[in-house]
Amino acid sequence: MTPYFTQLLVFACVYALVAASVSITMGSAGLFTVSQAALYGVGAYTAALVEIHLGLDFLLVMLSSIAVAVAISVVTAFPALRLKAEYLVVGSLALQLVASAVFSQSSALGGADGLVNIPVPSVFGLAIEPNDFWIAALVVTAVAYALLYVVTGSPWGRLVRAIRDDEVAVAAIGKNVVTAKVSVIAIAGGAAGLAGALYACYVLYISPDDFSLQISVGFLAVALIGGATRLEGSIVGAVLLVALPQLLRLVTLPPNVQGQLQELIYGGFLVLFMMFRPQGIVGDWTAWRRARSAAPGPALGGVAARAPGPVVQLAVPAQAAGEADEGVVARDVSVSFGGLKALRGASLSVPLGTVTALIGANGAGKTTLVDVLTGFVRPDEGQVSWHGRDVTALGPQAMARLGMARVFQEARVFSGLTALENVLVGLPKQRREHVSLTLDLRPRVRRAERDAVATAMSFLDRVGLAEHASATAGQLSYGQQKLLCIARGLASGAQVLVLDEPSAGVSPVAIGRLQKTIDSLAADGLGILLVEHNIALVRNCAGVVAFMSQGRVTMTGPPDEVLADENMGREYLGVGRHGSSTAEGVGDE
Amino acid sequence: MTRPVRASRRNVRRRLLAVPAVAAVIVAAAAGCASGSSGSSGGSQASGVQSINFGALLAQTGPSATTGKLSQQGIAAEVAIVNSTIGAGKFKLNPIYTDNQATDSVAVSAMNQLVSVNHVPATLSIYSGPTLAIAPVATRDQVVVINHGGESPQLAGASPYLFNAIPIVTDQTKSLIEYAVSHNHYKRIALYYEDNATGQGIAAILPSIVAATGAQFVGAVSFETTDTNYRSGLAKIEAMHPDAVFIGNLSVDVPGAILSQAKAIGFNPAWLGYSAIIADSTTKVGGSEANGLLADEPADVDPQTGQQYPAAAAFAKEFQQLYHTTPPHQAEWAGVAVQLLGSAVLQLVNAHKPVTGPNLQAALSKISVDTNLGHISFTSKNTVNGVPESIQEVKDGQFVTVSTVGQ
Amino acid sequence: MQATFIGGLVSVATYALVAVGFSLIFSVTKAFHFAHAVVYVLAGYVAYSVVAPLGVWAASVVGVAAAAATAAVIELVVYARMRRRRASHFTILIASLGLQYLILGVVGAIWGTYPLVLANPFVNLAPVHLGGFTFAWLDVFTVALAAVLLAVFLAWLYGTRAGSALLAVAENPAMAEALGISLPRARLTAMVVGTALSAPAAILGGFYQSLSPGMGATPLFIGFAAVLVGGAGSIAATLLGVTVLEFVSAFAGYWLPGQWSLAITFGVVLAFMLWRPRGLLSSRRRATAFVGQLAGAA
Repeated sequence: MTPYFTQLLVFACVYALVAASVSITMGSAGLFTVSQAALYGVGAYTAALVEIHLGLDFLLVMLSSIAVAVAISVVTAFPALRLKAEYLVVGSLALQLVASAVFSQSSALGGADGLVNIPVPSVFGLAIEPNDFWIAALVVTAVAYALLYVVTGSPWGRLVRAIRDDEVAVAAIGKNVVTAKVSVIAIAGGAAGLAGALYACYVLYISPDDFSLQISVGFLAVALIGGATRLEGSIVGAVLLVALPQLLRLVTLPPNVQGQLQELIYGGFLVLFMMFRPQGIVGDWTAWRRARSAAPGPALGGVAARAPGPVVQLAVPAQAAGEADEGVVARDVSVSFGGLKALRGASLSVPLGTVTALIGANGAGKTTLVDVLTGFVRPDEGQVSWHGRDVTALGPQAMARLGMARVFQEARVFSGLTALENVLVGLPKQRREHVSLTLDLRPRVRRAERDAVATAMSFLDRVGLAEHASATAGQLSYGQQKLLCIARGLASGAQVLVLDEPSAGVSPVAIGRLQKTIDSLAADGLGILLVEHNIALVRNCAGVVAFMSQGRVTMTGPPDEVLADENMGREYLGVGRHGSSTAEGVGDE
Repeated sequence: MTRPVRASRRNVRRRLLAVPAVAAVIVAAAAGCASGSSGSSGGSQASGVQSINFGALLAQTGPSATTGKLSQQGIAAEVAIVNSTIGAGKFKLNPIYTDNQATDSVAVSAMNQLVSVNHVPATLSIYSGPTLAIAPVATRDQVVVINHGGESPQLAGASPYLFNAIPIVTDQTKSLIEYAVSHNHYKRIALYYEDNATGQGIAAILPSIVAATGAQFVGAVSFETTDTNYRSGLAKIEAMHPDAVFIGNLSVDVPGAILSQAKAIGFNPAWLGYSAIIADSTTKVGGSEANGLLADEPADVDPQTGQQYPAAAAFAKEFQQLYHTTPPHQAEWAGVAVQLLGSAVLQLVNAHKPVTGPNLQAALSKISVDTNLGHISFTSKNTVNGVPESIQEVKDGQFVTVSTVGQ
Repeated sequence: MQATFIGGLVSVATYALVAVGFSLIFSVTKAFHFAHAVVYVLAGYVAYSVVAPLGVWAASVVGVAAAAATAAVIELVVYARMRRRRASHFTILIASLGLQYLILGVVGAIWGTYPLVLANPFVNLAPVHLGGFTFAWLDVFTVALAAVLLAVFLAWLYGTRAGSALLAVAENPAMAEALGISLPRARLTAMVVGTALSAPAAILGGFYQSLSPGMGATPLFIGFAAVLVGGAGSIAATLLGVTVLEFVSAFAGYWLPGQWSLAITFGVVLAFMLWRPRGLLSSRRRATAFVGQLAGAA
């Protein structure tokens, strides 16, 4: 192995790890950050300083680089994530700039000249000379990739991809989005830090220029060209980054052009790829698109569908004697947005075993009331209770964990995942969803995961989607997606299911299936809140109808009563003196 | 309706395709390198004429690429001269141009490449930062580095294998300050320097140089390479009430802007600088404020006779023939590096010694040869001895030589 | 101190041109036009090439026109096509990044990378002394030019039909389209006008110091930061943002080592996002929508 090839190989490994870091944050989690080079630099400087001042074993050097990079990435990302996800971009930019400034100003880090004469690393006393470093680099990188594959293919990885597709929906099924994002940042930071350690221990000289914002952006670009949604894309990107300059040496052009060849080619590639193949060379188009896509195929890390397992009992608590099965109740809630009073003392109860329909004109406050019940909005006044317990202050994740499931009007499926995976994400208490436990591959854990698949299949069967288990969710029809959301909500342990205009935009046939599902779920003891404009559906399903107007629930009662009421008719259905009506859905079915 | 099995097979197939694609790229790269290096292994002997490969690290890409081209032209011109004169029938110098992008890390990997792929015994280098970065490699792999563009004082003694063919800034500055103080009797001198290896190097040595002349060093302020607004810094310097300000820049387009912004804030000290300030932009952008500015640069003129050195004259002639223009200084200094190398190689060839790194190092340490910049040798710290400085003053928007001082 | 103030004022003037141009392009096209950093710089280079026969003023006009034309080509050939294929905002952002590299390479290939001098017509005039302040005629010209250009631009934006069309598209594209405004034409207009507005900054930069291919990087950075601080979608807010950032940066530069200036700028941006996420002037909705688009969440 000539030193020349050693250099190519080592750099390929280093770049692959940084590109993997991009792949994990951007491709898997959909988080856009520009601090890769900063963390790569943190890893490099840590390794250099440890080697220079402590002379520890190479394994310990790598571990310390990883540890410091993880710590810094988490500490800087956490506040940004807690506030609002979008601030992550700005936060990462700030991190990158501060890191560059620190690297070039701090005298302990060598200032503008960087750190020279880093001692050759040694593992268990055996020195790793630069010419032999390729062995160490390959081994380390292979091990790192193996771990990353296991981690990203685990239930945690699935959760992360779900967050990329729709984090609001993830919150609505009770999973903690912030923790998952922080763990993504941590793992990506660790990968970048490890890359830095390899670099420092090979080149034996580092300077601040190697870790600037430009370098971050360069890694981003290269990872994207390789394909960010798949881990293999990072390898392709890295090989490209290493091989291209070598190939360019073969070409001779006028000197001014030759000098700019790298810019021209990288820039040109990037534009062409983004225009015609944004998922990169090996990227997964459906995962990239995050929306309905034209390309078929199972999503990344496809879990094989199996036959549905035994029917799973829904998580409805047995009825205690004499106690009214309240489900969720809102009492006199008021909500103002700025000057607008959306709810003025609205009250609504959604008991278990019943379908409660909520109707009213647009702007009456239905969505806000639903937001309050599900924990998305905290009321200014009033109270929300769950089985008698005050839950006014709880957010959507907590409500979901109690048993509140919400199906959004826009059918928020995880479009890059299969239908089966969508439901799997909903299942609570999955051991390998915690990032630190993803490496727990004991037979017992694996068995539990297989059981989970069976459970998920049974939920799919329940809503009639079992045969579509392996279809990409983004591929399903709108109606099917809504059913999928119901299945997912059931999987999360729903006791109360909120359906927000489920029939909107759905074909009449699908409405029929929807109605059947709703009826059977209520019969099984679920409490259902049906927010609808489709009066026929309401009439057929609902046990109780609540009418909302101008921020209050003005009428509650059996469907025949409420729907026949004159005032309600005039205000909402537009029923005139001669009985004509302009409301939606009247006359359907 | 989807068919899971077929789709997953397509998926797997797609993934498998990636592997040969990647392999193909690697193979192509390997082929490229193999063909790139086939003609450049060590030195070959053919009919008594040794072919001596040497590296030429310069900026082929990036912001400094245009300067890199000047170096390349200078090297090519002097190589032609050496090969046809002292090398005729004995050896042939063969430069391998490699990109360092004026960046430290790229320089290091490029250097590694030159050493391990091309097996060069020596390489030329430029810019202080990258040269300092490859100094450890030079020491470790015993490859001579001849710097013909970096002027940082840190280059002195950075490696026994590193030779600085042009005076480092310490020596240039010393000549200038001595001239300036003795001719214009400045009492208070301040420094405005660029925050990088060169500027920091100047900041480290200027106070003692000024003190040695009897003037007072009143303070230093730095600016960033990316700055375009110098007024704050200049205001700070103005507050020190200097009568002369030394500009320690590396980027050539900076002094002009400094001068014009100083004029804009009404600050008119005398201005001093070293070779990096002698550029078109200084006079064009600085305008009338530049008049009276004093700077120095290595001179290709003999201070005793006032005539251009013969080597420089020959170099200029060859350059004119090849590129139809007089050689700019960057090219001239690159020529000096080649002259030094050629001379050392000649010594070894004459003594029937192999042209290796250690042998070249020994030869260069004791060398004493005529170059574009006169008759030079190296000090114990491998800085160059004997290069005269031409003191230039801006008169009517033009740099004019007012004196040539020996070292 | 007064020198720092003048320096800050000049910086505000030039950066404002770049920031407002960028802000216009972004609000209307929703594309994060990274390449703006190098397209507006083209004006300086083209001017440099034609200054000999045409003289500096005519050359500048030609330069501005060339830059605007390039922006039009980019919109038509790249962005519009990507939009037709329903590319996400993030994908367009990365494409713009690629364009930036590409055009940087082209500029370097044609003009070289050595800084070029664009002769400043005011170079030999004596500085002006006014009320305790000292400054150059170039400074006066810069501030005046920026003020005039911005005033004319704002008059056009708020006062003419074409300008109002852009405002409508920026506010609510669907509604604007329903009202009969052609979205592609509005976007093209925004690219051309935004670039033409920023292009003089390149010429001024050439006067003050030199032309180099990467000279637009820092101004674009500041422009982006200004939009975040001032709030997206509002021109006045962007101006305010630039002013705040530049003065903070100038005065910070007085006391701290220069390497920190960009970090400080972003520290200010971060502080604003934490304290006042809707920006100084604009609505919260617009501001978070802006950053959300940036994060590819939209």
